[in-house]
Amino acid sequence: MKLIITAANNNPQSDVDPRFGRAAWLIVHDTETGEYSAIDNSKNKSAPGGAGPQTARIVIENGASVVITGNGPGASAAEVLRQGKLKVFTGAAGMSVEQAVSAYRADKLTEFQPA
Amino acid sequence: MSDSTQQLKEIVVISGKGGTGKTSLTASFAMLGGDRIVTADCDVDAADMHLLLQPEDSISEPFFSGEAAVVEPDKCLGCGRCARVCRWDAFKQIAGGKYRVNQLDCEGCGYCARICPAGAITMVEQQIGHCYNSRIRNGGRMIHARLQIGAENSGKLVAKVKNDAKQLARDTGKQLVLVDGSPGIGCPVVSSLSGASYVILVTEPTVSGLHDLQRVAELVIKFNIPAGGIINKADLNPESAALIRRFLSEHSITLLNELPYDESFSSAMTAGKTVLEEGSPQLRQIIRNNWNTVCTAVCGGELNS
Repeated sequence: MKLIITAANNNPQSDVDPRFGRAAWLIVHDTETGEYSAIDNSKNKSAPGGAGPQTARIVIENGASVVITGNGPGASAAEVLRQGKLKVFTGAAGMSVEQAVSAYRADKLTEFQPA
Repeated sequence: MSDSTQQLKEIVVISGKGGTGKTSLTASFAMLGGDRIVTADCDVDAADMHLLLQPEDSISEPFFSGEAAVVEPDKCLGCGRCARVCRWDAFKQIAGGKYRVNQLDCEGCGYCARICPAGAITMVEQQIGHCYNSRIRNGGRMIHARLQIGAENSGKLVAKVKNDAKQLARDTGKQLVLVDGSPGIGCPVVSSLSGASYVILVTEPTVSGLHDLQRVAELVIKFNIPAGGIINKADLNPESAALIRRFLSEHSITLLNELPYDESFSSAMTAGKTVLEEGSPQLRQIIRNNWNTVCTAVCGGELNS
């Protein structure tokens, strides 16, 4: 299973970016292999509009089943993620990406409830 | 916890509805926070906190967002395909049969540039305003922005103002960023709330005050951010104030305080000052108590100098 974590930088030690749509990087974590990889999200970070839904699209296209972020997607992005059948977990602000993954495994994050 | 985000906290003040006294109170909090905080004005569509805080010695930087089509007259064949595909009627035919874009009508979709057979149309990034880093009269610093005529606020601009404020706070060793948030519940307010440690909801006892509070509180609850409410002008309509109290308590939002209707909100604004400076001693004390309560909730105590 693939997790995607919104991050301020491109490695597992980066801070979680509390923003969803305008997160600087998206870190992909494969729970089977334990591998991390990074997706540059700078185009959406500086998009004049639609940053949330576009970031949600990237998340879906990369085959993730779970998103981990700080506060959560806004209404439009949440709808895209819902249609992509993704689960979203929040409350990872202030953690590193690795810590957020551990917190997710320990069931310490909050599941985001759209609408 | 990672080092860079652990210390810095962020208080965001929002209201949903306009005219509740949000900016008057935020500016007062900015005066109380002094040089121990960085203040950010993310209410950029109707930025007015600068009228109360009168920031000086601004360092300014142009802000770009979105694109607009520009036709190169020498290349234009006058075929009119651009005008036919434009959903905003932004193209006008000028003398000589060539086409020109009215920049105010162009939404920047880029369809025209894609289909122009002569390659005469390019999409050009638009400067829509300026961002400022300024000093306010109590020695604190403020990040704010001014949009050009016809330009609109966006999640992007709010994110920039907030990120600049956080960076400045980190660079200068401050522990708190105070944000005057954007109105409504759309993209700019989502952007205002992202990363907040605490939200102050300022409302008033009116039907629309409660309605807009409910809409924006829903977002705050979804984002799982601790929040406190201030009912301003609470004595104007006791029935509505009671409904607001009930709403706050049902949603586990702390009622921070109730302020009476006070004309010093208007007189302070006219004088270009904050209610903290112009209001009665009682009003000042309430605002001071509010600020200390929030600082304690967010930082675990009053702010250190």
